[in-house]
Amino acid sequence: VSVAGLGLFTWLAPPVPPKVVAAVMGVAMMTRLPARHRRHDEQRGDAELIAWAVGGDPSAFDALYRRHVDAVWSRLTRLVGPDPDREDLTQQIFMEVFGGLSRFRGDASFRTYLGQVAVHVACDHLGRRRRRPLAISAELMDTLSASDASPEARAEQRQRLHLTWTVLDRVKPKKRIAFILRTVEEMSLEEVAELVGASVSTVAKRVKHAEDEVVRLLAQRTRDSGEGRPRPRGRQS
Amino acid sequence: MSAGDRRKGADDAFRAGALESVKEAVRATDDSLGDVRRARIGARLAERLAVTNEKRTIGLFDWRGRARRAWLTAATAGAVALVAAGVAVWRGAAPSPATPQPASPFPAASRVGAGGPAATSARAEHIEVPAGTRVRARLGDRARTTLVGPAIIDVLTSTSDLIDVRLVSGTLLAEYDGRRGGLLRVRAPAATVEVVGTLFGVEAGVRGTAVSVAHGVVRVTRDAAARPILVGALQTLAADEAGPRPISAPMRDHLEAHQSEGEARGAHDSDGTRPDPEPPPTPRRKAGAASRHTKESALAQPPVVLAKIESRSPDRPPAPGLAAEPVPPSAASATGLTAGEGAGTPSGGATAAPPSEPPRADSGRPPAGAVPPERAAAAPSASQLYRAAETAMQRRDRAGARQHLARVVAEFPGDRLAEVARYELAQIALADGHRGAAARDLETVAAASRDPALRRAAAFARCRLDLGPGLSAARTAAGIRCLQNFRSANPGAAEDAEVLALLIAHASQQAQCGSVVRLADEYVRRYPAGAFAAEAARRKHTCARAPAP
Repeated sequence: VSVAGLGLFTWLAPPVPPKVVAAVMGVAMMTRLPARHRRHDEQRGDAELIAWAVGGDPSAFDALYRRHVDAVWSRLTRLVGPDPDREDLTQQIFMEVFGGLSRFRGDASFRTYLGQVAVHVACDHLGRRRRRPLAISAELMDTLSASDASPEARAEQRQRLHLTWTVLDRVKPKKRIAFILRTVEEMSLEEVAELVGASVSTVAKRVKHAEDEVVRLLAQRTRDSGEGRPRPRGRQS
Repeated sequence: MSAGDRRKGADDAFRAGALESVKEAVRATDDSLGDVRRARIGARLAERLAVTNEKRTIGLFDWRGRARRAWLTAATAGAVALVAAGVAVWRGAAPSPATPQPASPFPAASRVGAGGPAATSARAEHIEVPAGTRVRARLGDRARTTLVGPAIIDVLTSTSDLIDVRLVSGTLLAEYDGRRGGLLRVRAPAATVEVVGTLFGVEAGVRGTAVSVAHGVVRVTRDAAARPILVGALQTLAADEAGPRPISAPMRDHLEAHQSEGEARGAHDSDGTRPDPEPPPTPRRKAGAASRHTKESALAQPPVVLAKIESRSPDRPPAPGLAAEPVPPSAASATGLTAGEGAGTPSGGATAAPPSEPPRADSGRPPAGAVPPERAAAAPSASQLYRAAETAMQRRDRAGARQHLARVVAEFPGDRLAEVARYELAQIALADGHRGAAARDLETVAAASRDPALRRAAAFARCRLDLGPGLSAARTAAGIRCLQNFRSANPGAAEDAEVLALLIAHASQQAQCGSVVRLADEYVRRYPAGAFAAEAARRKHTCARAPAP
């Protein structure tokens, strides 16, 4: 028995779950899965959980979901706003990610991969939603407003939220996403480019155009409401 | 400075201000996911993944994939032969300490935890049986069980002295051979059943837990009562009833069908024997049983052996890795379960149903266990029912929402969405002023949910039920004790800031300045930006200024 063979059979020793043994046909699995015993979910890294999930372990899917769902939700909320479809979109993101786990090569981190799928799903959703403006329920507005603020302050906050999301809904999805990631989440252009799958120069142009459009629309709204703000510079102003 | 420069400067200032305002507004929209919503999305995701998994399984064995199947078969055989040869060379003739487990889909019939020697295993096994499915399982080498889906069971311990299982929901029919000593313990919501040798059934559903006995005696310890109750042959005890009553005919049929299936299987065994709970055993049986035990202990079986799975849902194939067999006619006619009927609507009639509840499953039982295909196909899924409940809630139709949620809980007790539905039912009950019903639902979720965050949220909500204006001092004291227990059981929980605030408010009301100062200090130290931080500091200050008693 060769040294490599000894290593293989040691690796296949009983503590490795049978599902992994069953997956021995997939040579890629063998090279990807660390030869460690099962540990508690919190202690397992993403790569290890992915390997278990590819092997069909339901608890690994569960652990990956629990670990990342809050970040996905947060990003999705920023990208699409307080949309009632966010729960469905979150499911869709995880379905796509879990469905493509076997093809996940590990070039980028799992978090980045998840972010890319989230951006893609959000972009599709925004494209579909352009014909119907986002309706923010009063209940959600109350949830978002600070509970300890005065009624006047809460009303003002609600108005500002409404204005912001109405303006953002007028911006085209790709520009809007680049704008949110760059300006709101303060990511670097390179990071945004990796998430949206575009070049850095394209992302920079999208951000610039989105900023111009947002400022123009806000100025227009402000002027319409009669506050007499100065007219901002912009391509179309 | 020219007018143009001034204009440009103003434009730049407005631009910066506008972008900053948008940034703040977008960040302010960042509402947290919340435990309930997280659990709800997770439950739906699990359901969708299960469906996807089933489709893949069907596709894999589709006739169109013959070439792929042939390739897979050849590759599998080659790999298995290679591995077997390698293991044989490497390990010689020594028996493998682990028995491979069948692969399972996620999450229709899942097994969690690695297998191991039966005699020493203390690892938990988790089995989920989908609706409309019955799984026969052997626990250790002495308990022969049938799980009627939807059902969830955790095997906590399986040793020669004790087989300890937790029936989360569903119906468990069991035949336990206790002639060699030892104990079978079934932990169900609100009751624990201990058996030393009998044929019995446990139903854990929305109406509580009920234990029915066909032969022998079991000891039932209810959570609500300190003293155990003995339930004898042909008796049923519901956890919320004072004493046993006669067993219902359908439940007796279930148990007899379970026993006759076991006997039929025993007759087909190669050694022709099976453990028989009926004393006294004949010498032939004794000898047979002894040889069987010897053989099984030599094989060192895993604690749980899923022997067979039967699926009656036309659209749900049996889980891969588990052999499917047709239901024997006798068992089918005796059981008479259809897809969607299960523990939530126990056909055994062992639990007391309030008059307002829907008719029992056995009132219109179809003949010979047949399921009308169109009925099974038309039955809404848990997700569809939950969506209907959400739609009703959006219309502020609480009655409609309650009805749909109750169906989720009753028809899909094993589904994770049922846990969220039960939590939502508690909220609706509370809104309707039914604190008792809310408390029961919350306690069930807090005790039995598989989602730790949901368990925690339910436990906290249960504590809150005992706090509020107009409640008696004893109840408030119970609520405060509940919160203190919650804190010690869940250190660093998401609800901790709120719990601390409640404790500070209560201590302040009771003028317990020592507690106020201690808790307020802890709050400010842990949550300096918390919503109650300023108030905590104020109350502490008030206490510090107050004269000592």
